[in-house]
Amino acid sequence: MKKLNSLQKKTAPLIGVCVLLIGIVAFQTHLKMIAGATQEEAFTAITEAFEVVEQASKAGLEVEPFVEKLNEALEEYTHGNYDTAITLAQEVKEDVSQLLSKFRWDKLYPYLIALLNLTVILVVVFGWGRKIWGWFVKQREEEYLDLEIVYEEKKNGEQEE
Amino acid sequence: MTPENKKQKRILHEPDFELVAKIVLVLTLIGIVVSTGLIFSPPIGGEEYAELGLLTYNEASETYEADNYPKNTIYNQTLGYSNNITLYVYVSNHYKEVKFFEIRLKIGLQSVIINEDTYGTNTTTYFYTEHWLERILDSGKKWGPSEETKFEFNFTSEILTKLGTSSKGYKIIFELWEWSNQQNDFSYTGIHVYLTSFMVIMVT
Repeated sequence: MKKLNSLQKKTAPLIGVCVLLIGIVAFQTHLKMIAGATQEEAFTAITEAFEVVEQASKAGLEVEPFVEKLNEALEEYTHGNYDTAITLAQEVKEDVSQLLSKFRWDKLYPYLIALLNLTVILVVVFGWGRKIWGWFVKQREEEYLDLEIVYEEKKNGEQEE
Repeated sequence: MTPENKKQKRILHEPDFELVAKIVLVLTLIGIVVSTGLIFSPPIGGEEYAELGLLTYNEASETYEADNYPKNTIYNQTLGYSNNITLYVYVSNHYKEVKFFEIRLKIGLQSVIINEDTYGTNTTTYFYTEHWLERILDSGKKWGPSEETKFEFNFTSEILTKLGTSSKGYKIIFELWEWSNQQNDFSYTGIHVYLTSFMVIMVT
């Protein structure tokens, strides 16, 4: 083993202390950075989830259970439990997003009903309408077939009944 | 009237099938067009608004009431803070959609102007940020009054240093803010409620 000279012996502990101090400061800074970012991230997660819930609410979907869960996330956020808040908010966002994508298909129903109504109109007008009208004309002709028109001439001095 | 005449009269009053068929078809078409239009039309609704109420708790009757509001507090100059002031709020969402509300508690001098357009700023009022409450409310829901919506606060030396002492008293202001996705921040709803001429009695 190599023997340390006197200068190395003096500087070694000083370097060690400096490295330790730098390490402590860096670790604390890193921790602060993590804490700050997490708080901001938690609030962002909540507002993003709210945005999706708001969309669903505007679309007329039932959002009460999601609102309750998002309020739980908000409560966790208030108490500084940012990780739990993020988890809850993300769950809400995913669930409501799924619901919204399904709802977008449901939104096609009114258009389908409108199309069905149009078909009904066309069938009534051009299909049945014509058939029924033909039947009515035939019936009327049959009924009026035996009728004869009688003209009554009014004589002077005669009164109408 | 002879039977022949009767028969003739009946024939003359026979409904015009062509006309009847036309009327029925037109009515059917109108009905279908109107009902189809109704499917796509937005629902007709009433007025949309939010509500913010300020209440106190009556321990004798164990009820919340809009009465017996605190008018003053005793400030201990030696300790540097006053007695606690306790108030309760409630928020109602009468909008047709979910809302993210924040209730902000602020204190300003009696002269500070708060209205539908003007809210308390950081220069005109003291922000009790640690007491601000946030809540997401579904359409038609009400939050509070309850322990959750309780505001318990006091005057501190920091507030008096910021606002200064006033012989006319202070305003204890509650403002309702709502989250705006466009602004990515809370925006003032214009809804507010405050206790006016609130006096701080100095003791040593």
